[in-house]
Amino acid sequence: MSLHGKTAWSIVNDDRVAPLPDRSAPPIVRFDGVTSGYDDKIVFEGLDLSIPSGLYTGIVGPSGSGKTTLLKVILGVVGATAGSVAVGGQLVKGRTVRGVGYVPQVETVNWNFPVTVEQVVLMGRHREAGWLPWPSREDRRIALDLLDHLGIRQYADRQIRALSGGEQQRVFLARALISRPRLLILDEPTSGVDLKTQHHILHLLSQLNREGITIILTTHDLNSVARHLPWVICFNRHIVAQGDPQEVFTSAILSRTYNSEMVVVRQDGLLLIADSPDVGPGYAPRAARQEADDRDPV
Amino acid sequence: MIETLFEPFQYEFFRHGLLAAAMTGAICGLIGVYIVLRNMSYIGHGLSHSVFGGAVVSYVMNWNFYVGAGLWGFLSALLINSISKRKKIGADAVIGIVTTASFAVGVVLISRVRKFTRNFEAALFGNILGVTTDDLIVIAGVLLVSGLVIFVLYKQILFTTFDPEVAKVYGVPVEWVDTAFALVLAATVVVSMQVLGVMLMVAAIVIPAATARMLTNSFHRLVFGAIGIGVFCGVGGMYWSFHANASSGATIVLFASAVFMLALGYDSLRRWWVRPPVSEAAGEPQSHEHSHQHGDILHQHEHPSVLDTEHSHHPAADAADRGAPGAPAVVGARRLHVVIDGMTCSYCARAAERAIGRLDGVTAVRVDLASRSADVDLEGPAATPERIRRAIHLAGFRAVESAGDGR
Repeated sequence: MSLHGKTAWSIVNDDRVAPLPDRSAPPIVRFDGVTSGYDDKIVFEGLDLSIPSGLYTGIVGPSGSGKTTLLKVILGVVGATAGSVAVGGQLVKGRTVRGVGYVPQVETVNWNFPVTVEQVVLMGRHREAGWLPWPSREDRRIALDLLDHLGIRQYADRQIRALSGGEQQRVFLARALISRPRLLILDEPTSGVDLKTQHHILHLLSQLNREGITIILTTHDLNSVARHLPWVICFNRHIVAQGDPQEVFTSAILSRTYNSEMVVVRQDGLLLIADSPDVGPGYAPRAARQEADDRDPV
Repeated sequence: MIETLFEPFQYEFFRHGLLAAAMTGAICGLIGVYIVLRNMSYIGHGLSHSVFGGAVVSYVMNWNFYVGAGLWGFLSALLINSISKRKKIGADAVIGIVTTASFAVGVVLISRVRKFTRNFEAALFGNILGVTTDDLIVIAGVLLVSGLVIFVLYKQILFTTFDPEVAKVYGVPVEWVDTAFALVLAATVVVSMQVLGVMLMVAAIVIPAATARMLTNSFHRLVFGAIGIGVFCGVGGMYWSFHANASSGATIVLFASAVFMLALGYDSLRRWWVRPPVSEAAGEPQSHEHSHQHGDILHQHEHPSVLDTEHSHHPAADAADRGAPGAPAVVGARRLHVVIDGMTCSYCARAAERAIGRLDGVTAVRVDLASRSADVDLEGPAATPERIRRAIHLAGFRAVESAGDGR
């Protein structure tokens, strides 16, 4: 992984989709009959899941479908009441596993907290850094290098609120990357930023994926998934379907995932998903919609 | 003046009191930083009441006050922590129950054993005149230990305070850090009780940190600033107490409140004085993203761009409206990018699209819901950004920005 190489990070217009990994490779995440939830509420039951090392995958599903819980079980923050969870071949049992980077939802961040960009990024080096209150010269060099590669070095001393949405997202990405994880988990990294920034982020992630990091993210933006991600898991308390979004994103599967009618339009190799059946001719030409419906059953 | 400063020093009670007030000021300031950042002011308030019960119990049982009250406070903090993990009951409700019950234990004992009404008052409002050398040693010990704990666990406590869940992911033993912190907090409350009393303590914990927070955005400066302000207020309050012959706990708190008000005034003045330069917002379209793309956060942004406001009359905004600053009105084919606020679903997008499409001179519109924006192709002099903005407005949305023709 050449995180600290000179050329990384700059590729944003590269539309190559990362190749699918070898499915026979040992999985980096493996769920066997996992049941999990909070207090008296079960979120999912008897879940089997295997994510091969090197995959770039998106988890989609409606709000409350358990996407975030699924991520937290992988992270070891939420426990499994039944079944076993293994990450990187290590059993996760009430503790977190090394080599995993996590980027939480931006809504959960306390933006008013008086910390600088650099301080936030250095938090990610908690396991590697010493116990002294101040960072070592080595810590700082690594953090600034990484910020440099992500194009936000000039903001190192700024308080985190004084950044744009895309820059903020990159700060938390940097915190996740600084410990050089093999698995990167992101909770809705594309929410709350504009379309251009979404593309930047997703391409940055695909670049990281090509450098060998397995990436799991959740998102509500189906069209971005269809365009950028080689693999998708449709999740609503169980796995409805998984595979290449070009094959998995059909009206039937998405309607089952979201419990409401979804329209999928395919035209000239382009996939478009609309969240309601009647958005008008500007969005879904009648003929194309008909065609999409005809093709639906898989 | 000099006399005002040195006259009280001839009295031992004042020397002791001053030292105690300065040291508790430092401890409270340090702990207060985390209390304020964790939004735990209420727990500080509750805990001090809780410790009162412990103080009375240890008095009745003839235990050492510091051991009895300290243990009591620590256990209350842990109890609050564990009960409030059940998400059905909010932490504030749990604090209200545990600490008030504990306070009530103290009141019951006191009302049955009438003889220590005097101590009752001291516990509630502080009795700095009675600070003994032993008390000073204990306060110094707590100052040293809490300083050491925070020094050694500095990174862990900072990470846990900022983002407990992610801290856990990165291997920070969040529960242990919280426990260590609860212990330090309980110790702080117990040693401050003598100086400030149960009722006034929370102010001494919260005010220095809140004051420092207004003056700086840096965490290190916040920590040192809060300690400094804590010491300053303790000393200032003691002098005030001596010369005004008033209760020291109250004067310390009032002195601190005055310092807080000064900082508040300074902060408001600074905000009013330091306005963002206009050119930064109107200059390059890139800088608009700065204030628009982070959802809820954008409304609290400290540097509102000029184009944020509908009623802006700044020439730069008008220039941007016209599409090309300083140039004669453009009449050829051109493209305009508009950010539209308030669209939540595809119906909204459709409505906005229709509203813009109806206008004279608009040859094509594409509204993109995901980026909350529209690309509008214009031709002829009839189509101005201002008219498009108005059309969007009439359709029920807000055009937050319109910048230049597409290149």
